[in-house]
Amino acid sequence: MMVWDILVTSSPALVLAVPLLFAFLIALLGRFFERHVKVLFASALIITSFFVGLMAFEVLTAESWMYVFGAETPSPQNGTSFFRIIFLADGFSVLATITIAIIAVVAGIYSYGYMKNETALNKFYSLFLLTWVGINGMVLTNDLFNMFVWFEVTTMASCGLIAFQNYRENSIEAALKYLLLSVVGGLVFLFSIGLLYGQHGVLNLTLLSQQITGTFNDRLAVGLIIVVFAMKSSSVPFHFWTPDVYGESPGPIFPYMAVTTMGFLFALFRLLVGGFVGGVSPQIVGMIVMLLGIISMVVGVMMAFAQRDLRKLLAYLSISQIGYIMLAVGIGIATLNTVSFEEFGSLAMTSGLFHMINDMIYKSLLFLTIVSIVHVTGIRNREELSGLVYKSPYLSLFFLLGALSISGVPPFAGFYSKFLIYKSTFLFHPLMGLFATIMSIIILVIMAKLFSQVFLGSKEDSFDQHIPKSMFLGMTILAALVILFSLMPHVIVSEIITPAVESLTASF
Amino acid sequence: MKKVISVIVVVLLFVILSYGLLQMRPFGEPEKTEMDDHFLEDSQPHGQINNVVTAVLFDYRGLDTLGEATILFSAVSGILTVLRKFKESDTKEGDDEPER
Repeated sequence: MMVWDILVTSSPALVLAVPLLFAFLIALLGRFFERHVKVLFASALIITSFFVGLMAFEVLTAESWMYVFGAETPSPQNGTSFFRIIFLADGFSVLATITIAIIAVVAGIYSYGYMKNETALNKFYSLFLLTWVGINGMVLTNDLFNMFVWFEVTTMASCGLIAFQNYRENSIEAALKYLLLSVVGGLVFLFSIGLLYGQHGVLNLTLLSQQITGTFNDRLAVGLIIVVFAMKSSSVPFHFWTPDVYGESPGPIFPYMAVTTMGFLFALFRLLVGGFVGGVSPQIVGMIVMLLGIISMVVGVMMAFAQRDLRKLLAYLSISQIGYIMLAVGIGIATLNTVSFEEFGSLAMTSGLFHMINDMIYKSLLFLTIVSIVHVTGIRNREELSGLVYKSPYLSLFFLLGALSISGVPPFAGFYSKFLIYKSTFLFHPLMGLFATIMSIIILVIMAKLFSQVFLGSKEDSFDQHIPKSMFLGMTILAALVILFSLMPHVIVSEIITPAVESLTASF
Repeated sequence: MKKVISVIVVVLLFVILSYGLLQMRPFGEPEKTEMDDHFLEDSQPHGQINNVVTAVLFDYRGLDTLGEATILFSAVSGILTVLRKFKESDTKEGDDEPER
């Protein structure tokens, strides 16, 4: 019983410690026991997901808590505990870690089949787990400098993953582009942390939120941080790396990079709502986030319309979905501390956070379906494909499920979160709600055209290769989750999303 | 045109950052010195560490140090991954790159 309590209390730290340990182990032992690497990787996935689940269960059924690193007791005893590094186990970090864990497990399972002909798999699995450590750290931490450290871990490890197929020149180019941008972004983030720390002398976000007053330097730092995180979460006008990185990375890394992007977005919302906007007027910050969201939404959809390359098309659609999230959460931030937060602000926040997990699941299903098609046919141009429904009815079923969800067609998963976004944006400004709806309709047109082009049409005997079972298993898990989200959105909103919104906006 | 825009952006950033520099508080005098004082006073009695820098690096901020080591490790793993030998079938003839 005693051990169990300790496990529960330290689960926020174990969510990082377990994949970190296994990443080192796999890198160390992988050269000598090549056949056992897969077993080690599978156990890392299972044990880490177990601790994510343990933390989620404890937070959602009992209460949230803080984990203080290096103190005598893991929970804060007095004011000086806040000078140490603190991890928050609250509703928001539970939502984020669950989202990340689902995609990480699915991408891990998928990679068994997809990567079986590659060499140096121990390095692949090691980097995969290191990226997971980085994202988890970023969404759990409540400390500015600690967030920078996990930011860099995520960046470095994911660059290795993007460039993993080093015989493809395009992936090296994409990794280099991502690395250069990320390092510059990381330095700007470090500079802003320096500005804030030099002014206020604290690094804990909660303490900082009580001190920040909106002087010129505070505003400068917050502005730079928004720019850096908008760049990392592929929002227009900082989106130019996205099609390359999403399009050229190895198959299972496609959804994994998308969840990395989502992790940066989670971290941005934690920074803004949990730390900064209390002192730096929420209206202006919310308007900036909203504006970035609207531009991303429009540009993403417009660029996807003309795209012929299947993977790049999905990358642009992913940008447009990021836009929806930023639009909704931006409205939530802009209405903080006002009467309209009760009216529609909290609804906007709920819809935005719900769209984050919802979008991640159906988007990954779409990504993996397209990656499987590209894997077996070797064709990436959508005009050269046709009649795939005769070859693989399951793939077309998965694609249809994802496509109907991403365009927000009523009974499917995407509908509920998108409907809440339309509703709250309409209440904020009628024109905006109309705009978001029109963009969804254009996405439906794109997806319908894509489906008829790639899956219907004349039968061609273009592929005889078999899709490995593990790849099918990965997609089946996601399809089951999409169906689950379609059937009971109310339960998920009340059980997971509402606690996340409440813990995020607790100080308002 | 691109060059003109870049120059304008750089000049604008320079002006904004210089203005920010002028607004900064004197070095080492933040609004609240409680965190610094706590580190200076508490590290010896609490952690039995005579060197404050060591106390901050390995006790108060130990997780950051672990994270920095992880950054180095992932960077090295990434480089080794990119520089590894190509798959046998893809290696060109006469390509005598050293192993790994």
